[in-house]
Amino acid sequence: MTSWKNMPVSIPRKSTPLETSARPTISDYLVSAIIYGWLGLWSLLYFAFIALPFFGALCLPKWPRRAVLRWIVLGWGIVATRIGVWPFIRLTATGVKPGSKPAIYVFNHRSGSDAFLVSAMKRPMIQAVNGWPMRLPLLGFVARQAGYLDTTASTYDEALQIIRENLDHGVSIISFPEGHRSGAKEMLPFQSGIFRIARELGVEIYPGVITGNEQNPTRHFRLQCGRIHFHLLPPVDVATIRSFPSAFALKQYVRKQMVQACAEHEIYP
Amino acid sequence: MTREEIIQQVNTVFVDQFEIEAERLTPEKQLFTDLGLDSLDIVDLLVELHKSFGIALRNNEEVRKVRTLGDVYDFLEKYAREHPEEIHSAGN
Repeated sequence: MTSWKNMPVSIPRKSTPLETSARPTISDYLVSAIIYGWLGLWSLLYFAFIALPFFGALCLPKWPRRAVLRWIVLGWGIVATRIGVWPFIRLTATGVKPGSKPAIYVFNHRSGSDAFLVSAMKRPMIQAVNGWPMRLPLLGFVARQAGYLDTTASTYDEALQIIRENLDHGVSIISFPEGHRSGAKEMLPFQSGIFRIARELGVEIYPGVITGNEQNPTRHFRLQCGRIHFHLLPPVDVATIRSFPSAFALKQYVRKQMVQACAEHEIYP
Repeated sequence: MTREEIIQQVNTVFVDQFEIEAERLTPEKQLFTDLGLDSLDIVDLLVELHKSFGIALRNNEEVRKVRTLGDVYDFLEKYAREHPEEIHSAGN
């Protein structure tokens, strides 16, 4: 796999996505509009291409329908991050490949683009997300149909049951344990839920980090030119997970690994 | 039980079960913001304090007011004063 360290990252400082103190200029908004336009065009082309399987899938029973829709969502993620924002935003990916067994994947959460960037794993999975993406007109409908987990609408026991069912059907789970977007390089404290579930169900955890997108898009959804890097760390195996005395100790261990990985793979140090 | 014994026993729970470094365990530390616990961790903490001190805390209304580590010490000290027969030290 290509190492990001071998790639040129000499972006002029003026164009880095970390320039947040300056008030955006008209040209910044213009660039954002161009990127969204390009992304929208590719998304439309993609949906035109998959319209038939998409509507066909809606007629299928629950689990086959979800399987087809997870592939469609993955395809959209790949089209969006590899073609839809290229060459304005360039994504690189390194690290281990996702395992063959269903697992829990945890990522840092700097911006709203993370949900698309996890497509760098090239595996269909479901995401545990906050309530608001589930209420978006098209995105929310597809996410619900694909079986995404709305963490704000489920108790711990319900979430545990949903995740158990998905794992039993061979579906991996993506979670952002910070709970909401940090909008910065600093990682927020982790919530324990997903780590408790991993301990309870005895399932591997793959930590991953996404860097460079802390302001891409910004909190006001403005896209900028820049680079984003995705890195997947080796899994924490079940024996190690169970060796921790509590979910808290496990989450702190995983978070420490992720903080270190972020420092190593930071695009804009 | 003295306050010192309570502090030591509570800190042992944080070090052993939560793997938090002993140096970080000072009374002014906020459980949520400084030590990084969330609501599920608090449930674990109450279970561990139950095991350590022998008192059921989950349904205690006073526990809901706890915000800092010092509040935990204060709560247990008060509980030990009011119910000396219920609370026990580690190993008893």
